[in-house]
Amino acid sequence: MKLLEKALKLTDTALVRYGSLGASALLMLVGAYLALVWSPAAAGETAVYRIVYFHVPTAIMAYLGFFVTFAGSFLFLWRKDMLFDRVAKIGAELGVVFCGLMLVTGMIWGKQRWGAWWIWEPRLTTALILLIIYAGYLMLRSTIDNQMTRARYAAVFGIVGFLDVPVVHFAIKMWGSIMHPVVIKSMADPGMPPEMINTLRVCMLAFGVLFAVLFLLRLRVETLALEIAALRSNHEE
Amino acid sequence: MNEILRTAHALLIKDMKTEFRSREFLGHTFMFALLVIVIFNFAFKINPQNTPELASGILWIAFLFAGTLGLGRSFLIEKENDCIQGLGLSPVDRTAIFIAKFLGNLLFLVIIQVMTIPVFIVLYNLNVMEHFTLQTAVFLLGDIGFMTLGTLIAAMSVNLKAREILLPVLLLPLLVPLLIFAASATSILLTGGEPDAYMGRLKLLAAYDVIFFVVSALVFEYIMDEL
Repeated sequence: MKLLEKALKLTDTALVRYGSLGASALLMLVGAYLALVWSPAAAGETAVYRIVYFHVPTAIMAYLGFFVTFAGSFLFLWRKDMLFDRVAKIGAELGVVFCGLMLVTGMIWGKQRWGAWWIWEPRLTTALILLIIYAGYLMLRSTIDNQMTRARYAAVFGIVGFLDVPVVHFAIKMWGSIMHPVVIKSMADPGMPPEMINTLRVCMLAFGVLFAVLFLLRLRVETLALEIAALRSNHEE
Repeated sequence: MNEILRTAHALLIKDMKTEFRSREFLGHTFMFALLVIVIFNFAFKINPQNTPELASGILWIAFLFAGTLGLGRSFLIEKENDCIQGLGLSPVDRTAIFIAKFLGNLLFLVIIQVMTIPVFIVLYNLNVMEHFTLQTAVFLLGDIGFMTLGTLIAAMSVNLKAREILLPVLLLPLLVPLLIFAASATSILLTGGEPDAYMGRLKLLAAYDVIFFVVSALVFEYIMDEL
């Protein structure tokens, strides 16, 4: 929490804000170059396989976002600090965005490989259900005006929703299974050339930095919006 | 614990009395469940060959929809004359309120099922209750999980501006696993599948119920304090 406040303080400097955005954009460009140009062609795959370098990181960021919502919700109910409510909200926003990107990149790949935009495959279906759950979370937030009520309801839903994630995944896996490629089975023997692994690592880093930067900037905006609202209501009184 | 159960019992009796005095709502919901079943017949072109396969899906969807209607009302009646404030001010454990509402909703759904299933058996000419005990176990475990999360989300949505739409939108995605476990267990019994597969699903349903009942009962007070 101290760390979060310190990081938030840092974003007060314009140089930090633009610098971090620039650095994130640069990293993303390097990642794109490595993924689209430098990385070798995969055996038995068309060029569309390269989307995996974006698909896997977005998937990880989506789940990270949902986890942030869970952690924020839990901490809010425990510590009663509105900062955690904002953290939870931003986690869901980023989670929904990255989950959407994961689905879109996956669908583009699937159209090539499976010949269909959509297949009711466990991982896809799980991601879709999660997208609906967290879109619901954001809808729930948007319909409540009272700050305290909103924070509490959202926290309850954030916790219940996250507990549902593994259950949904497990249930859908049981319900019907079509092959989803498992890219990396173990880190010790990844089963692909080091160039590919390194490209994936860089892309992962790029998306991780993007996530962190977006998270902090959104947190700053939300915090400022709260301060403005407080100032306004003081002024009116 | 005894105290909680006693309070829950008193609250449940109160809810049942108010419900019994009007009785209208139960009838309306039954009509709705019936309609869903009839409409599916036209939507799917049901024939004797595909009935066993489709029956569990039709039944569970009818119950999910009818149950959601009932849930929407369970806290709404408390809003009349600000009863909810009296409930909130009374010095009782919040868990007791949760248990009472949960049991009331569960009872409501079970009554709907008891009324709907015989009609389904006649209309579709398929005895879904052939394995009576096994099928009842599926329905009960499915109902418990459904009404656990349902009671929590219904309490949450009663104060919202768009409550009619938000209750199903928030609740149904959370119930996807439950629907998969329950509908496939019912389906196994109807199509004569593996007993092991049936038991597996029943255990999963029970696990789902336990997890979400404990969590819902724990977090319910945060909802109740804001009602």
